[in-house]
Formats: sequence, C-alpha cells, structure tokens
Amino acid sequence: MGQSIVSILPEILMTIFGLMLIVIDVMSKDEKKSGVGYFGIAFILLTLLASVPVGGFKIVGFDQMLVWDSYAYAFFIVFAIAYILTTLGSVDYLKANGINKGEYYTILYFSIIGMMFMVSATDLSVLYLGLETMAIAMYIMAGFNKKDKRSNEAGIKYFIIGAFSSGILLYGLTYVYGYTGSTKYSVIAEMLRTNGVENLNIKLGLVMMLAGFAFKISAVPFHMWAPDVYSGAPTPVTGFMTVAPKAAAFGALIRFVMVALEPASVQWQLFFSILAVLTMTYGNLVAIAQNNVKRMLAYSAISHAGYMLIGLVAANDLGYKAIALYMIIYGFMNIGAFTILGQLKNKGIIDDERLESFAGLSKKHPLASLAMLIFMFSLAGIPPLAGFVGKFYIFSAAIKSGLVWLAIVGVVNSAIACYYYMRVTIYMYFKEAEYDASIEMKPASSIATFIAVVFVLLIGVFPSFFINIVKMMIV
Amino acid sequence: MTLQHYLALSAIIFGIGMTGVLVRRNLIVMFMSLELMLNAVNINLAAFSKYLHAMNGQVFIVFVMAVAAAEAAVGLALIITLFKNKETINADEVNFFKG
Repeated sequence: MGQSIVSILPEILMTIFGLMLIVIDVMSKDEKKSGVGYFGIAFILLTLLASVPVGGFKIVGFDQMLVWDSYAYAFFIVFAIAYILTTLGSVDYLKANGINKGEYYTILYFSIIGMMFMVSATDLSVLYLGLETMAIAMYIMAGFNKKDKRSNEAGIKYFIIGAFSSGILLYGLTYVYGYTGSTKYSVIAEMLRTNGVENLNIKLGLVMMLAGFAFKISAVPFHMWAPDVYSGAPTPVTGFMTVAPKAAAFGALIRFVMVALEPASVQWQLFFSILAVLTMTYGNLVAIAQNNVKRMLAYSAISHAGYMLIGLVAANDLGYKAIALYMIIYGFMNIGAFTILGQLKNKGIIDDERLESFAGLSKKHPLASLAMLIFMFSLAGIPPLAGFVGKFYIFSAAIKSGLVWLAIVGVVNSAIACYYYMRVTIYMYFKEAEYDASIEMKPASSIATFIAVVFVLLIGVFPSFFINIVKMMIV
Repeated sequence: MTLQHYLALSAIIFGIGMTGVLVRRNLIVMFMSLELMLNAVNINLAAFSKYLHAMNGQVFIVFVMAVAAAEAAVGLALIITLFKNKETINADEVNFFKG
C-alpha cells in the first residue's frame, strides 16, 4: 500500500496544489487574477522539484495499474514547460481580450494531472480516466472566450469530435478486454503472445483503439477537427493544445504499444507508418495554401505529429528518446510562436492573424520579429536551431531501424515545410506594411518569449547536454 | 441469452449512436447519440465482465458513467454559450471556418 501511494505522489501533490489554486482564485481581486497563474507556475515547479527521479527508479502501484518512472517524469517536464510558457503568454492576452479569469489557469493546471495519469498508466482504466480528465479540461479551454463565436465553434467541434473519438476508443477497448480478460497492459501482452492477433474480435478492438489514439494526436485521416479547433481557440490555448495534450497522447501511446502490443509490433508499425506518411504530407501541403498564420501553424502542428509518428514507427530506444526530445523542443518553439501571435494587434480588422499583418513588422518591432524569425527557422528545422536537433534524432532513429524510405519522406517534407515558414519571415522583413498592425509585447509575454528563444538557441547549439538528460530519463 | 446476444445488442446501439453523430445536425441530438455510444460500451463491459467472471469490467462501467456525466455538464455548457451568441444549435450553421 505504501508503495502505491508513492507511485501517485506527484499527482496527489498536484491535486492538493490545484485545490489551493481554486481558493487563491476566489480570494484574489478581479484585476489581479494573473496571480493565480503565477501561483500555478510556482506549484508546478515545486512538484517538479519534489518528484525528481533518483537514478533509474520505477515505482509500480495499485496492482500494476500505474507506474511512476523517469519516463513519466520526462513527459511531466514537457507538460510543465507547456504550462509555464502558456501561462506567461496568456496573462496579457487575457487582459487584452477581457477574459481575465482565474479559472483559466486552474483548468489548464488540472488538465496536466490528467496528462500525468495518462503517461504513467499501465492499465486501460487509468488510461481512460487520465485521457478524459485532460480532454474535458481542454474542451473548456478551447471554448474559453465565451463572447467570441470562433471560440464557441472551436469548443463545440472539439467536444463533439473528442467525445466521438473517446467512444470509438472505448468500444475497441471493450473488445480487447473481452478477448484478453484483463485491462492490464502486461496481461494483454501475455494473452496476445499466446493466442496471437489473428482473431477478428481482437483485430477490431485494436484497430478501433489505435484509431481513437490517432484522433487524439490528430493524425491524418483522423485530423479534421484540428485546423478548426486550433484556429478558433484563444491563441495561447492553441499553443498549449498543440504541445501538451499531444505529448500526453504520444506518451500514453508509446507505453501502450511498447508493453501491451509488443507481440503485434509488425501490425501496428504498418498502421502507424501509413499514418505518418499521410500526416506529414497532408499537413505540409495544406499549410502552404493558408493565408492565416494561426491556421498555417495549425496545419504545421499536424505535420509535426507526423514527424513524431516516425519515431514511434522506428520502435527502438532511440525513437522514443527522440520523441521526448522533440516534444520538449517543439514545446519551446511552438508556444513561443503562439505567444507572439497572441500579442499581434490589428486595428479594426477581425481576422487578426493573417499573413499581411506581418508585413513590415521588423521595422516597428525588431526584437519580436527576430524572435518570430528564430521560431520559424526552428520549426522549419534549420541548423543550428533546436528544431534541427529534434528532426535529426527522429530521422536517425528511423534509419537505425532500417526505415530509410520513411526518413527520406520526412526529409522531403521538412524541405516543403520551409516554404511556408519562410513566407512569414519574408513578409516581416521584406514587405511594406499595408495597414496598421503591431505586436505589443508586455512584460509577461516578453519573458515567455525570451525563455523560449533562449532554450531554442541553447538546445540548438549545445544539443549533447539536453540529449544526455533525455537519455538518462528514458530507459 | 448468450454473450453473442449482448454483443449484438451493443453493436446495434453503437451503430445507431455513431450514425446519429454523423447524420443528425442538431447539436443536442448529436450529443444524445454520443451518450448512446457510451451506453453501448457499458453493455459490452457488463457482458464481458459476467462472461469472464471478472469484476474489473463492472468497475470500469462506473468510471465511464462518471466521465459521461462530467462530459454532459461541459457539453451542455458549451452548447448554451454557442446558442447565446448565434441563436442556433444547428451544426451546419456553425461554420465560421470553412473546409
């Protein structure tokens, strides 16, 4: 029993702090609601420090229902990065849009508890509960700007399709449970090893489960919700949604396929290699046609999920490490880009984020433009920035597993992607402004952008330090 | 009544729910169809649990129901905010983003 408690200690800490956050929200004045966010940052940093892994430890709890290990901790770091940067980037956005409410930070905070359970789950019931804790919080976040029709629409669409995909995942799950007689990953693996995966019931169950996962990571052809939800949700929330829930879904998916589906590795690798090619290519090709930068970044988020799927298909240690590293890097560069995007203001134009708004910004706001340039170059994967390191490791994992063709598809795709990332910088530096747009960087969002830029440069220039950390975590 | 009967029933209900979400355009009806899908899952879990003589399926049902209740709260709230702004709950008219 003692060990069981220890295995969920980080989640218990997070929950207690989260409840305190609600109280702090009630006690703080209307104009000081940002304080809730700062307390959230402090709490998440405290939990991070309190649960530092000592060596290659692994605590199994509750009769193998979940496990707290350095792998779960590595993903916790990703969530913490996403929360800290998003909170800092939201403070000014919320004030400017008149939605400065404390529950914004609290709901964001509680969604992370769900994500932590997802990543440490080794039982389907824990996985499902974590998934829904995360998803329900994210439905609210997507529709948070109640007065904005676009935000309403994003919330509704995310809700209907999210619940639909959970239903499909659950229905598949029942067949897996019925066939193997257990919801534990280890027992499922054992049953699949002895009985094979040729039975129609188990095939149906597994395909439906993996399709449900594919919805969550917005892999083509299960992506149709992503562009609308990402472009409708409040801008900092979009930055968060493209990183943290996706990292959680990948973390849970890796554990599920690595432990439970280990006997069926040929089948799921085929399934996900097809999805990876479709996702990368579709995301990049459609992103080229976008004139709205927020929507373009939404499609780019789809294509980045495709790159990460390559690491999953590679199915070796290097691949999983590469995904974790990529997630950290992607968190910095994408949330950084969305922070700047959230501060972009047009006078009298509703469609805030179109490409023309960026024209000539480098003259008015040289520092913000430079930061945006760094994020765009990093997303495109140009050395010596962090994005290059992430892509390099993903592709080398694929080559190590003999998937040279997949690596080639990935490289070709990142070459295509350069076009639309470069277009933003060309507008910023070489076009004349057509109308009055500006980036108003207030202190909080400046700090978020600064942290992101520093880490994108640091990881790009000194990758070995960060790679070693990830190598230590993911065994 | 064998296991197959229950599975067939649940498959039919799941099919009705899925068709409802894809075909109907009223958000409330779509939402009800989602609940049907979850109920099909519950029937499956109960049937398998009885057949396998294992309790964890039935425990799972409690989780699914609790989550469905939470989802209902959030989903209805989202539909209400949408209705306040647009005066419609028709999914086809919720089309700010096209394609």
